[in-house]
Amino acid sequence: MDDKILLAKIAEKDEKAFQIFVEKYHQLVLNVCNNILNNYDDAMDVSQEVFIKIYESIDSFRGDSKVTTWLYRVSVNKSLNYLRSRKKQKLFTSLDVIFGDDNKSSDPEDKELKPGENIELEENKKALYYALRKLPEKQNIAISLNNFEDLSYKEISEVMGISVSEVGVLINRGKKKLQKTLIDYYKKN
Amino acid sequence: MNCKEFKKILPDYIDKKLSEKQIEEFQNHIESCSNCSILYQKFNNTFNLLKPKAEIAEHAFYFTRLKQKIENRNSPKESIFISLLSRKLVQPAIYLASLIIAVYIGILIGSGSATQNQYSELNNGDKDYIQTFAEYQYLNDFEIEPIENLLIDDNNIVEE
Repeated sequence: MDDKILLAKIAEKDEKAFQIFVEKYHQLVLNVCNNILNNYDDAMDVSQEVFIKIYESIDSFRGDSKVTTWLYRVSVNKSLNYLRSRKKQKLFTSLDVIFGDDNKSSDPEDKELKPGENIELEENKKALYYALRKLPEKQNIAISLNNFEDLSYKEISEVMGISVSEVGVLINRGKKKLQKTLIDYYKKN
Repeated sequence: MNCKEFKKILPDYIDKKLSEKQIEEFQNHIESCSNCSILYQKFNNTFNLLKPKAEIAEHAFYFTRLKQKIENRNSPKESIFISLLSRKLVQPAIYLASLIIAVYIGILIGSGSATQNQYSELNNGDKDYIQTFAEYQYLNDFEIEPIENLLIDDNNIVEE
């Protein structure tokens, strides 16, 4: 079924159309969220928030851009909001850790390696996500979309609502910072 | 080339921005310095992860879980104010109160016997009762006396 027809039916609160839409695009949304959050469970929660947001605000989609661009934009915004709210929660999570509430993990980055996993690869991933988190948000998103999602500068500019040249500047500056952070990280470890 | 210079041009080497002479010096340094060689390997392997990743597989019950979440959201629940109050104020307040109570109890225990304490639940009447009860433990109706007295008596017998 064509996306425009699907969206029109979703706007009329057609549940079957919404189901088809979700099944068609949930993998894309889940991947974007996972690439930004680097945690499958968090990505699952946030991706569901993305579809709820889309279901609730379907009327605001004018159809000027592609559906995928809209999905990328909502996914990026929801993931960033989640990261921001988690930073605020850290203070209270640390209190829980002090008082021995083991059910709440302090940070997904601290997760232990599972037996059988490639330890070196996991270490490298940890270093990469550490360095990505150290970047300003816009640089992080531009680099993630360009490298993990393989989006062109033009597509990234549409998702982020900035010019193509700005995307280029963000990616170049971001990569330089990323390299510097990685070298510092490995010097310390 | 020393290690400091090596670290400075490492990103340019990865980006292939070095001249042939610099590349040669860079590679010579890797061969002669084990620390920089390890750093290069780690850096290179990590930076190579910046590429499209294997996609997460489709989730069979994704829509079912999403629908469940929407239904849970629509069901009556406590107001945002109460939930925020509970999460951000009440929980830390309970932790703080528990900590203060624990410290206070610790001070009470450490401050001496219960009878010296103004907050003790034992009053004088209770103490009399305890004394009377203790006396009844002696079947021969003798007064309560310290065990040292018995020892003294034994000594006297030995001396005699």
